[in-house]
Amino acid sequence: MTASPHITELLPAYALGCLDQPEAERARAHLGECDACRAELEVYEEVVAELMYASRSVAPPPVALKQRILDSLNPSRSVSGPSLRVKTWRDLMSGWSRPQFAFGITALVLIFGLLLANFRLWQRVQALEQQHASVEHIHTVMLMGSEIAPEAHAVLVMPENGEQGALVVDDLPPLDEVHAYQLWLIDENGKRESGGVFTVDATGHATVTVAGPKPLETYKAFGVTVEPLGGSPGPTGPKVLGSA
Amino acid sequence: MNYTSAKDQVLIEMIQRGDAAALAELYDRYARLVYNLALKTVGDSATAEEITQDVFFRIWEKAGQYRAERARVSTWLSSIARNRAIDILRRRNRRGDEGANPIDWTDATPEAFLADDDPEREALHALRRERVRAALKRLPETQREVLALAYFEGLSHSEMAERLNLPLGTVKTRVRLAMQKLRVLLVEEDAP
Ligand SMILES: [Zn+2]
Repeated sequence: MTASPHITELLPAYALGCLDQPEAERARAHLGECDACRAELEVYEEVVAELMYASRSVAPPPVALKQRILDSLNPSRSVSGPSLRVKTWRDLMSGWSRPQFAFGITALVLIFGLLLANFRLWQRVQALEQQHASVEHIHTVMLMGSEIAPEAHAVLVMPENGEQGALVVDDLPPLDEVHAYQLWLIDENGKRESGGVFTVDATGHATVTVAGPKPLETYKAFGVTVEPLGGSPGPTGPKVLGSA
Repeated sequence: MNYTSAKDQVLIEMIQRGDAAALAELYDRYARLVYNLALKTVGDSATAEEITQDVFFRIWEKAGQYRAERARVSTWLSSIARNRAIDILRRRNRRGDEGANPIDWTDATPEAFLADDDPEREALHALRRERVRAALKRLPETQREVLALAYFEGLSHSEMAERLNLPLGTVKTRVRLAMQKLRVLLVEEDAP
């Protein structure tokens, strides 16, 4: 037998939680005193955590569940008092003494102004840092509805150097059964390549994975047109969405 | 305090101090994933709801035990959720109501994503989902099978060997190879 002191071969199964009892105990004992194996385990734990994303969402949690959870929290643990849903103007104002009020208003206006200006920016930063921590850089492009679909809007996200992205569309009118929407990837010469064909549900919503022949961020603009079902080699129908 | 822009880790620190709005924000980010993972594992919405409630309640109670240097918040959260779901599954199976059909990731409801309130978050989740699914597709069917049995049903090596009528060593090897390959595809290939 080899006499490696480490338990490297047990770590993938340990992270997955499928070791049988004696091996699990051996692993646990070793992990208690070996930093190297613990570091290795953390990598496999990250792999297991990624698997959570692989399942499709089939149903949202019931709307009332969030409030039920918040209501069940033990408030006595709170130090500063739970600042739950500090959202209304009145909530923001309460607790401010009168002399502070005028200054407070100015400050609030300023804060709201800054918030508005930075809203998209920090949303992207947050999205980038939080929700896709495992992909280093994410580009986000907003698409706005054209005059024939003024309500429509969409967001396209793509990892740096990635040929795959995702497009989420809202408020795009559902089409008849012989037409579909097609995403166009437009390069610096104005050449259009298909990024995929999709339909929307009855509410005008779609989430589409997008693939292009080149890394998506190398395209200069993006647009969506109405095309015959199955798509066209180049845009033929009216444009419904376009990037700025 | 601007909750939506706070990093997960900052939210956990605020939860430690008893800030319920921070928990509400964490809920908005992850409840859908937790709920659907639970739903897929246990198969019924009432239990999935119970698990989701339990996960966020535990985060509220145990936020002080979270160690940022050890794991990402999403990693911590998914492990609480999975442990909870598998506990329930095991308790049920011991009572004799054997799990129904085997579950894995190859459910093919094409592009039937569920709308999120936040389109950007939805797009990012879709992207991440496709990335993980693409990695899973690159595994041999036999490796994906043991991975799913361990992941969704919480079976141990020997339980899988029995279920699949395979030598224990074969099961161990398949699990290890699957995880090593996913590590390369999902963790290491990310390095810029
Ligand atoms: Zn070691």
